[in-house]
This record gives sequence, C-alpha cells and structure tokens, in this order.
Amino acid sequence: MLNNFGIKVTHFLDTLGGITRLSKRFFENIFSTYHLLPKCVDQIYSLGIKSLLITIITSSFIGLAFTLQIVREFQKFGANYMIGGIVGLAMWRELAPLLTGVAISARIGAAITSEIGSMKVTEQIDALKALSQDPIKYLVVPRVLAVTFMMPLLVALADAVGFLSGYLIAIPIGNINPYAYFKSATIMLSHFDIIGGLIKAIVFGFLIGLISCYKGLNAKSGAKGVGKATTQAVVTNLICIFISNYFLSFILF
Amino acid sequence: MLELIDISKRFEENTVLKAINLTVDKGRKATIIGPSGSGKSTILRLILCLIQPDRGQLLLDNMDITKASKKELYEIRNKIGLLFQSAALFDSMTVEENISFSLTERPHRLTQKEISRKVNHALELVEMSGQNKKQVTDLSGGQKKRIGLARVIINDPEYLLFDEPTTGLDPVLSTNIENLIVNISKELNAATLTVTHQISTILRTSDDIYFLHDGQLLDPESPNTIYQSKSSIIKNFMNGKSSV
Repeated sequence: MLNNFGIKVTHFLDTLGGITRLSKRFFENIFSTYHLLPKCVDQIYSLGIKSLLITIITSSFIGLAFTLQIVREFQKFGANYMIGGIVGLAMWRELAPLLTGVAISARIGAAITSEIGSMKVTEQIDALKALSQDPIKYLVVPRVLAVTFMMPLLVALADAVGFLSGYLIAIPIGNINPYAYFKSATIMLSHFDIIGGLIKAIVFGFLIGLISCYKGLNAKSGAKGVGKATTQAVVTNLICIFISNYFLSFILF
Repeated sequence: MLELIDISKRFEENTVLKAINLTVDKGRKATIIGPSGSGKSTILRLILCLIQPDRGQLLLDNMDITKASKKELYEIRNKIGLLFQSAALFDSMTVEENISFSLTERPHRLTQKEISRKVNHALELVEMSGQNKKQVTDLSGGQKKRIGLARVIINDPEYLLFDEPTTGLDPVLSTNIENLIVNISKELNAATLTVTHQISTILRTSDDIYFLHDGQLLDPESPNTIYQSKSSIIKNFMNGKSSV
C-alpha cells in the first residue's frame, strides 16, 4: 500500500514537472511560431466559436436555478430588492468562470487531448519532427493561446446570459420591480467583480490548454491509451480549476 | 555519407542495440532485416534524432548529429526523408497539404505556383496525379504509402529512410512501391536505408543487406548471396525457419 502511494506521488510530481517544462517551452516559442495568427484563428474557430452553445446553455440554466433558490429565501426576509446584486455577484465572481471552465474543460480539453493523443499514437507527431517542425510550436502554442483568448470571451458571455436568466425568473416569482433588479446590481457590484472573473477565465483557459496538450503529447499507444489520456486530462483540468479558483478568489476579491 | 559508429541503445532493462556499426554511401541502398521487435525501426529513429543513443556517434556528412543543436537538427532533418510504416500522414489535411507541408510551414522563398508545381511533380513520380484535393482519410493503405513517399521526396532529401515500406500491401502494390523506392533513390542519388522483413523488398531494393541479430549487425550480404549465406541465422530467416 505504501509502495502504491509512493508510485502515485512520483507520478504526480512527474506530471507536475512535465507541465512546468511544457509551459516554459510554450513561453519560449510563443514569438517564434511561424504563421501563428492563422493557426490561432483556426483554433479559435474550431475550439472557441463551437463552444458558444454549451456556454449559453450552461450559464442560462445555472442563472435560472441559482435565482430560483435564493429568490424564495430572500422573500422571507423582505430582501427581494437585493436579488439582482446577489445573482450578479455570484455569477460574475464565481459561477460563470468556474462552470464555464468545467464545460470548456470537458469539451475543449477533451478534444485537444484526443486529437494530439491520436496524432501521437499514429506517429504524426514523429512525422512533424521528421519534417523539421517543432510540435510545441505547431500544436501546443496555437491551442493554448486560442483557449486562453476564448475563455474570457466565453465567461463574459456566461456572465451576461446567467445574469439575464436570473432576471427572467426573479421578476415573475419574486415580484421584483425590473428596475430594482438592475439597480441592486449597479449598487452592489464594482467593475472589478467582472474583471476579476475574467482574470480567472484567462488562468483557467491557460491551464486547460496546457494540461490538455501535455496529456495528449504523453498519450500511450493504442485507442485505450488515448482514451485514458483524455480522461486524465479532464480530471486534472477540473482539479486544477477548482484549486486555482479558491486561491484566485482569495487574492482577487 | 551516413555512418553509425558503436551505437548502443537500451530501453529500461532491455538493451536493443549493442555497438552497431553501419555505413551507407550516397547512391547505395542498404537494408536492415531481422525479426519483429529486434530494434530495426529504432535505428531509423536514432538517425532522425527522434531518440538519442546511449553511446556512439551518428555521422551525416561527417557531422555528429547526436551533438547537434536544436537549430542544426532542423537543418539536418531537411536532408533526411523518412517514410513511416503507417505513412503517418496528417489526417486533417488533404493530399496536397500533406505533400507541401514542409514547404508551407516554414519561411521559404518558393511561390505558391512553384510549390504547386513541386507537389504535382511528386504526385507524378508516385503515380497519383490529380489526387491533390483528396482527403487522406479517403485513401487506401497503398495510396497512403505513395503519398507518404511523395511527402518525403518533395524536399529532394540526400538520405532516404524507409520503415517497412511494403508491409501489409498486396504483391502488386508492393512491387509498385519497391520500384518507386529504387527509381527515386536513383533519381536523388540518395543514401537509402530500408528496414523490412518482406523478402521481395529485401531482394528488389537492396545493394547491401544487414541482419540485425541480438542487437548487433551481422556481416552484410548482397541479394545474390543472401540465400547462400554462411550464417545459418540469415539462411533460416530467409527460408522462414526459426533459428532457436
């Protein structure tokens, strides 16, 4: 049992070291990647734009469910007028960045790992090297940049959709004056509540991109190996997102 | 000239190559044969520096490429063309994008028109003209090998490496690929190293045949002498018998 624990700790440290080395190589190659912009635009489209629907669905139903829960409790204390502010605070600071991170990790993170993992096990990564291309420049840099760029945009969308979804349910159920919903938000929230959430999104995007690429590049041979790498990427992404979310909340707000 | 001097390689506890020595001159075609898992493909990966040897020197035009910097390595790899066993085509791309990859993915003085001309010439050489816009996922195994070959030759490499080029192909396609290997090697005057265990490929595409046994290369044979080899290991292999 102790031996098993030791193996797991060694594996964890090995992964941590590998991701750190990959992030170093990412920053080293960020300005020397050939045709970086077209590659990033391709990735932004295939990874980011196609994630709009899942972001809208996730954030709208979170906004609806969260407002539904608090509106009845706030009614008991006659604090209905604060609902807009509370929904905005929860969505912008925590729920939108965190749940968009979870959704994107499942959709984009898994897609990146399975694509790069498949390339690894079918010798396409070796073919890249044989054709004098650096896989870090060709595969990792555009993907990490695309996810890092798209995450704050998706979170901004989730902020708006979640907040407006709360409005849709707070007005009929909570008997709130529509004006009061928005007014309470402007009183209780500052610009930095939105900016802080977007900073979280940038960090989450970078982590999702980097971890997913790392897991793909280290996929073991066969379909089973790619499947295992994809599962590991999603799990690692989620753990890192939740841990970093706590520390970012502590630092930012 | 390609030279391997005392090259050794081990993976964990398994020593795959033990002090390998091999020389392939420009215009010569060498073939390494041996049972599956004997380390033949490892030699090709070492030559491309996809993996590093534990010991020894790997000389390309008298330069030890195991000591090359990252930048030098990219220049060296431009001189080498490797046809992978699986062809390793980029499956998200078309035939044309695959073949022109090495020309379009780095700063190059060629115009788009010149690149298209080179792609068409390479397709002509591998008898796949007019297939430019096809997705590689729509190709058969033999067609993939030919496109892989076209991708290899578009850079006019000085060193050609073939990893099991005819494995899994029917006899007609195998002969086709073997003829292509011979013709292209001749046209480019390249030093060619093939790794295979297909008898027809060994006999058709080789000047010198090396047998990899227990991590070491046995004395070379020619296609004319290999069946009369003094080594019982080689003779048994060629006749499909176990040496154990």
